[in-house]
This record gives sequence, C-alpha cells and structure tokens, in this order.
Amino acid sequence: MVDSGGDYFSVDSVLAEETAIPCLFQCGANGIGRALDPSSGLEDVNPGANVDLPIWLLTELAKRDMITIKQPKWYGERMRRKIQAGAGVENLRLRCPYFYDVALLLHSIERGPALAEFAMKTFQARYKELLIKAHTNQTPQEMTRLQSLLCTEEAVLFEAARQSMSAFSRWRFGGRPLAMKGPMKRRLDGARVNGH
Amino acid sequence: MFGRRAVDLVKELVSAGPDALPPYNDEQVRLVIEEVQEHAAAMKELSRTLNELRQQREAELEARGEPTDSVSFSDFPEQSSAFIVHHTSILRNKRLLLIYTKQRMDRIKQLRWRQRSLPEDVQTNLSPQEIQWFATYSRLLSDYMRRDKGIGMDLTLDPQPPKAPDMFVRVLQDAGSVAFSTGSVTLRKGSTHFLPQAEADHLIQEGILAPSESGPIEAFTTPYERI
Repeated sequence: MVDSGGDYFSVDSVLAEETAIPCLFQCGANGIGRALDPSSGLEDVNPGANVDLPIWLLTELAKRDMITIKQPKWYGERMRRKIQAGAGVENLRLRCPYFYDVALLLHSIERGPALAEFAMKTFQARYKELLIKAHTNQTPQEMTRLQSLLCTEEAVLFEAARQSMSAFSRWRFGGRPLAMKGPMKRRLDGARVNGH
Repeated sequence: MFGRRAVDLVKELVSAGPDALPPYNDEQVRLVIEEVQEHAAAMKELSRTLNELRQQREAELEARGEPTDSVSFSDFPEQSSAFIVHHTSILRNKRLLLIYTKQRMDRIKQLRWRQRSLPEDVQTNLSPQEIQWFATYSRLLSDYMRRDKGIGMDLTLDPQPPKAPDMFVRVLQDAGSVAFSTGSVTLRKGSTHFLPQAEADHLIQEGILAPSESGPIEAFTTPYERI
C-alpha cells in the first residue's frame, strides 16, 4: 500500500494512484497472470514479463525488488524536449491527468533526482503563465482552451486564482456579492443607469 | 485488473458532480466485497503452499545438517509476490469502499444543513442504512439546537457565523408596514433601517431590501456611484 499519509480519504489521491506504470517482473507470480496481464493468456506471470501496474499495487512489489519500474513515456526523453521547447502549450491532461502527483509517488519509490527535477522544472515553467492567465480576463474560448491543457493539480491552482481574483474585486468595489442584486434590478427597470 | 470495480464506484460518484447523490450502487458494492473474499481465499491457499514449501526446504536442510532458521518466504518469490498482490488489493478495495461511503455520508450531511430534510427524489437514491443515518444525525442536530435541551439557536441558518445580529438595509421597493421582533417598521423606498439579520434575510432574497455596508449615509448614493 502506498503510504497515504493524511490523504486516506482523498478522492484525488486514490485516482492518481490508479495511473498505470509500465513494469518489468523480476520474479514470477503464481495464479494472477489472468488479472494482471490478460494479453498473455497465461495463468502465471513469468519473470521478465512487461506489465502495466497501477501505482497502488507496484509500491509493495518494488520495495522487495520483485519488479523494476520503467519510465512512463510522459516523463520520457521526448517529453523533456517538448517541455524545454515550450512548456505552456503541452497538454498534460491528455498525457497524465495527475502529472505531478504521479511524479511525486514514483519519486518516493525510486528516489532518483532526475524525475523530481523534471517535474519541478515543468511546474516552474508552467506556473507563471497559469497565474497570469488566471488573473486577467480571458475570452470564454480562451478559457476553455487553457483549462483543457491543465492537469488536475494545475486546474485546482487555476480555479483558486480565479476565486481569489473575484474575491479581490468584490472587496475593491465594495459590498457583499448580494448587494449587486438590488441596483441591477433597478437598471433593468430603466429607472437609472449607473447613477447618471 | 484487481480493484477495478471499486475504483469505478468512486469514479461514478465523482462524475456525478460535487453535491450530487446518485443511486446507492449496492450491486457493485456487493461485487467488490465478493472480490475481497476471493482474494482472501487465494491468500489462504497461497499461505498454505508457502508453509508447505518452507517445511520442505527446512527438512532438506536438516537432512544435510545445515541451519534451518535462514529459510524465509522471500525464497519463494513466485508465491510471495502473488501473496503481496492479493493483500494489497484487499487493502485497496477497503480504502475505496470507505471513500465511497464517506463521500456519500458527507453529501447527506450537507443536505441536513442546507435543506433541513431529505428531498423525495434524493431519498429514493439512498440505501436503507443511509436513510437511517440521516434520521439519527438529524435528531442529534435538532436536539442540540433545541431550546429546552440544547443551545436554543438554529445553526443551519448561517453556514458562517454572522459578524453581528443586526444589519443596515436599504429599501428598494415600497413594502408597507412589516412587523419585526424589534417592532413594526414602514418600509419606504430609499430609506435605510437597522434590522435583525435573520429576519431581514428573506426580504433581501425577495429583492425588497438590499444590505448596506456603510449605514444610513449610503441612502444618498448607490454603490455604483461610489466606484
């Protein structure tokens, strides 16, 4: 079991752990071939078999060196080059909806600096743009386009930035959000527009 | 794949939206529990095999006169890896079922705070246990808020505690004379009053009153002019 810390009941964390990672079996496993590797059609998993395992399952096996984890292609060399070329346009949601959570989980198993560094660089490159876009007004089409590129963790940040922005403008222009209700109604009546 | 059914349960709840309560999927829950029982049976079988293998190995070593205490389950990776997979799957299924139950419980609890009772269409989506839980929770909360036994205040009125019991409101429409607990007030368009928030709230919802942050002075300027 992945050490879930305080996230035992977190829906996002269980869904992130569902991400399948390519693995190589170092030893065999009896009787579970049909469930783990249906394409082989065998009752047992043989040593050297390539199987995609979800993160929740592979942690315990990797700890005992029963499997080796291979690099998922969304952290691979090609992706690294793409991120370097232009981090903001890459569609992370399509490649891995939990890009950073999965990186963190894999890092906690493998403890290699390479993956952590890559995830961090990706985030740094994308975060600035995300924040600027969230804090300025965008056309609805641009908003949908932007949001379709973000992975789940980024979408949460994006939404938080939007909310803080609207909270700020509420404070700046005074009153509870309810206060808008009255005057708006009067304008519709045609009585007075914007106090002129 | 192991645990697929349980994660589908959670996904079903997520895709329904943050406040929605889709029908309780007892068929799927039953299937998940069945899967757990299958895992348990497989583990029993595997542990029997593992123990047999160990005894066999120990007997071999003893016959050769070597120490037997170094034999462990990790000497039989085919069995022990399968054993770990089954065990992890059980824990995973347990966690997912608990999340499913807790997510639903949180949503039902929210209904009690927002709408006070179970709407008819929601009730048909709940399991008997969930309905029973709602009834118990509702009774506990009502008892706590009752005047004779509890604190004598309706906490569900404001999800966030109000800063003050009274507030300034400005009248947007003539509404004649309205009785408040502080006395009768004639609501004339444009005038400002200091009224109990709990009683003014429903008039604000109707659009007769508007909350006024700055008090009586605001009667001369609309919020738009202040910008």
